[in-house]
Amino acid sequence: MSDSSAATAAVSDGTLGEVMGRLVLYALLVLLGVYFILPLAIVVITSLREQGEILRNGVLSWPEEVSARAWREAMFNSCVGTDCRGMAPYFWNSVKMVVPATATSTILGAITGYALTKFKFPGSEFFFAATIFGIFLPAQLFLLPTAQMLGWLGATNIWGLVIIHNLYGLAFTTLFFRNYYVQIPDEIVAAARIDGAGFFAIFRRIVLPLSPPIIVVVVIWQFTHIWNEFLYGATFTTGTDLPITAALYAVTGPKGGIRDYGVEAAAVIIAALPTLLVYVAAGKYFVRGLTAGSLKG
Amino acid sequence: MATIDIKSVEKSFGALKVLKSLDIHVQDGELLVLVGPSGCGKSTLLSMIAGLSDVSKGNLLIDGDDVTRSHPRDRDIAMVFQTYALYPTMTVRQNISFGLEMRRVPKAERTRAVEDVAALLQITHLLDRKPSQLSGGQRQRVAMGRALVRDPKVFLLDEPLSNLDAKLRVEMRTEIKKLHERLGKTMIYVTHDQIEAMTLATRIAVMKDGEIQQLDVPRVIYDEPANMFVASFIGSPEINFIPCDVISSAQGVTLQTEGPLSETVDTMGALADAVPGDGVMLGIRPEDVRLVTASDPKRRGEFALPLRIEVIEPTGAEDLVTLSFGERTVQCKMRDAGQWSSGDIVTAAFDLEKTKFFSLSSGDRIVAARQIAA
Amino acid sequence: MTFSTSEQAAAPRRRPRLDSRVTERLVIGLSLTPAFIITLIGTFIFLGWTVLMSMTDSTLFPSTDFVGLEGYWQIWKYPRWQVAAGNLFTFGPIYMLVCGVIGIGMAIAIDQNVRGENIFRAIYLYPMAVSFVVAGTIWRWILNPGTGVEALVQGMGFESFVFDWITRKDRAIYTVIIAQVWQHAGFVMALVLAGLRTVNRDIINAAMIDGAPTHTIYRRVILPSIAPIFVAVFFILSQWALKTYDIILALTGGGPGIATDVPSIFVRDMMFNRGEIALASVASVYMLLLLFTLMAIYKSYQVIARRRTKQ
Ligand SMILES: Nc1ncnc2c1ncn2[C@@H]1O[C@H](COP(=O)(O)OP(=O)(O)OP(=O)(O)O)[C@@H](O)[C@H]1O
Ligand SMILES: [Mg+2]
Repeated sequence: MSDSSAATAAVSDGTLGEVMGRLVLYALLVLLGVYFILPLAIVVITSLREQGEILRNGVLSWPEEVSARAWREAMFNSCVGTDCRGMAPYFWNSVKMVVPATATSTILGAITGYALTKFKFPGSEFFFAATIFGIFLPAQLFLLPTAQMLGWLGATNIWGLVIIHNLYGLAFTTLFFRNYYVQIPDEIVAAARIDGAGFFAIFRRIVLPLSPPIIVVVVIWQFTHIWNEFLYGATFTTGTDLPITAALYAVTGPKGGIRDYGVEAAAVIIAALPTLLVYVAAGKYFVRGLTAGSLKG
Repeated sequence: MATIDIKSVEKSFGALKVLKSLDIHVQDGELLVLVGPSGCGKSTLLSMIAGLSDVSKGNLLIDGDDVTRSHPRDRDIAMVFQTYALYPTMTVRQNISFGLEMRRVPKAERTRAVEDVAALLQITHLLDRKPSQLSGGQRQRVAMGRALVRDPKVFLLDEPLSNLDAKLRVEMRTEIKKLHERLGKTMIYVTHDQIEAMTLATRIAVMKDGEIQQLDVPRVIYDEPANMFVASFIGSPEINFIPCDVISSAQGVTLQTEGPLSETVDTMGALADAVPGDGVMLGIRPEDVRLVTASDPKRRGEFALPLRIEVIEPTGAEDLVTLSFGERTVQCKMRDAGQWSSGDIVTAAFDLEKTKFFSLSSGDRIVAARQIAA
Repeated sequence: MTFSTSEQAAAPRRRPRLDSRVTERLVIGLSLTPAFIITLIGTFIFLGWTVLMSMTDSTLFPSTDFVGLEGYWQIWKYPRWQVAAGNLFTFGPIYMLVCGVIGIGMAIAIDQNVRGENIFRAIYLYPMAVSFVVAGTIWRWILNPGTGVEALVQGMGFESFVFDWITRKDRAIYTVIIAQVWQHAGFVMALVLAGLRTVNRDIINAAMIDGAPTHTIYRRVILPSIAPIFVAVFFILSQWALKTYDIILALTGGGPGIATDVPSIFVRDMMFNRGEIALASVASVYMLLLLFTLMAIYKSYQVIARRRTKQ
């Protein structure tokens, strides 16, 4: 419960009408909760059911018995195209993509944001505007030249995706860091310069120690977006180089042919788990990034 | 030995000229106070001396070296900011020693220097705290400590006391004065508090709109202000201004104020020479206004006007009497105004020796007036 | 004029020291170089290249034979583009409206001093954390007549129950709305709720003391004061509508047929599967123009609003 709620009056006195009002309110909230939670619940349940039972009773029903088969097969035996090593290698593809891409785009954004706020020069505002210009633009605009560039670099693999996520993540990370760093008083940097500290010394000794809150927000933002990204992954990588979202789109059960809902459901959860865990563990920062990133962006 | 030379220095932000060709020579060991209203360019000048913002035109010399384009770190200066600008994630100890560390001073030496400065400023017990755990006055001391520890040639202080409450401000003012006298370092101190300026300065530079109005020792600034702006900016309560016409006739010189009031002053021939037929602005400080009583009548060499008492405000040490004069008011500061009350009509006498006259057109003080009156 | 009381100091003894300053500028320049290169190439050169391609006769391979704006008229002759553009303009506004209304409703409901507020919020918002592909896949099953809601209701004995929108050409686009609202409504709630919490308590208290009932306080006091948030929300939703891609692919694959095609899918498909680079580029530039229009509307709203508050 929050004191800052805009309508404390509604709970003040317990007339019948108001009690009814509260009941309706809670019923509505719970109903909405069911709408939002149900799809996830269905996938979890489906992933724990036997294939035969699903075919008999449909996707939307209670498991007769719980089985971990689908999980095992999704992880190690499901097929993406002709590759039947399961989701595990693709999960690792995504990890190999998301870790360096998040790290580099965050570091670059931090340094760019720091330089543009604390070492202003004529044109630094323009530089910033240009840097974040691409933030709104649909990815479709960049597909062709990106494909040509990656072809030219010979990087139609995970490393290509790392490059792309730096290319298109920098605008966001710079925006986040800049908006945070403008709040650090310029006098602190001035004092440090007089004290004899240089650009990187000030960054490392003064600015960085003040940055953990924004670093958490940016890392979560970048991690979530890069992990969940589909278009670039599906367009610029093929075969065994696919990140997990693109693999999920193509996943089938181990035998091929008939659809294996249990395996697909387990695969869905495997693909969604990292970002869901981040959401559960650091929801506050996720929301902060979401609201700041979308409003300012 | 550290002098500062500001030579034809200008500062513009785009088309906006914030500082207009300043020339100041600061002597070694001097405490020069820059004072002026908000936005007049004090901080801008200071940050150019520090090297934090570029000089648009002109040269800056510290100790004879041209530092116009040097990095702040190479100027051997220290600065205390209005907001203190302490490094929030460092302890007091780290804050103070950071500058030494950046200059690669050996650890043992650093430790000793920090201890010495902390003892000097009486903040030894605070060394392991973070800035957020300090009171305003303590932060101020840490900021001073950070500047002192490096033993720089020049100290720059930008309104260092303005974030403190009134009592603490007076205390710290005294301490800064003692520190300056003890260390004998060259300091430039920015404030818009004229009392701070008067009490601390060896010299005061009064600024307005990016120009220096007057630069002199406090006494001269107070007693012989160069113009109306300086006269009104320094002194509290403010100097009283009364516009007068100067009429020369066979009987002598008549000063005629707004409305029907006028007074013939026979000692003012030279004033008439200075501004023949023109108007002047008469300026008189509140402490130089005297209320005439039966036992202490108007004296020779005084200029008197009948005025109405609007309000009497006792401040303890003195009483502040506000008198009305047509649309204008005149303030008078006196030891005890107990014998009067609001609404009384009294005669206010202005000692012509203390009265300053200013040209209505230029605002500059008419220098002859005082000498002639005497 | 000179205000010095003593003699001017001697002329400069030493040449100006430049090293530290030059080094510092060099370091700043170097630190901004990656951002400069990334922005120059990744945004501006690439954007320029795509715009250029849209004015050529490129098909399977990029060509630089310039044909001007020809493609911008030709594209409207493609039935598939007509469907894609038409879908965007039916799907977009409905999605924005439904998402906005549900999200705002949830925010107001949660704002009633609700017990367990944090849990409700977490549940409403979690879909934002999962990928579009995941969301699309989940909803594909739920909406699939053979496995989802239809099968469930029929299994409960209502044999005649039909819910087969996802397989019907005229309805499939609406299933995209269902899935995308599920994913985004929580976001609207989070933004609006954050806005509601910034409304000055004193104003609300004053209105309560004046005897206004809760719904009147919302309608007349609270909601108007967060109008800028609503506008921002709808601007963001309009962008998302324009960029909708993955969820459609996972949900319907653009089908049945081309029934749920949208410009973003059209571009990708023409560019990489059909060898119609110029056509795809034209379509993407149309997306860009629509985005600029939306941004222009939003910016002019901000300017007008700011001017009005100043008065
Ligand atoms: N970066 C800037 N860009 C444009 N104008 C500026 C900039 N910095 C300062 N100014 C302008 O320069 C003038 C002088 O500012 P400065 O901060 O030096 O005033 P100040 O005398 O220190 O005032 P205060 O007593 O309020 O601190 C002001 O008019 C200010 O608006
Ligand atoms: Mg200032």
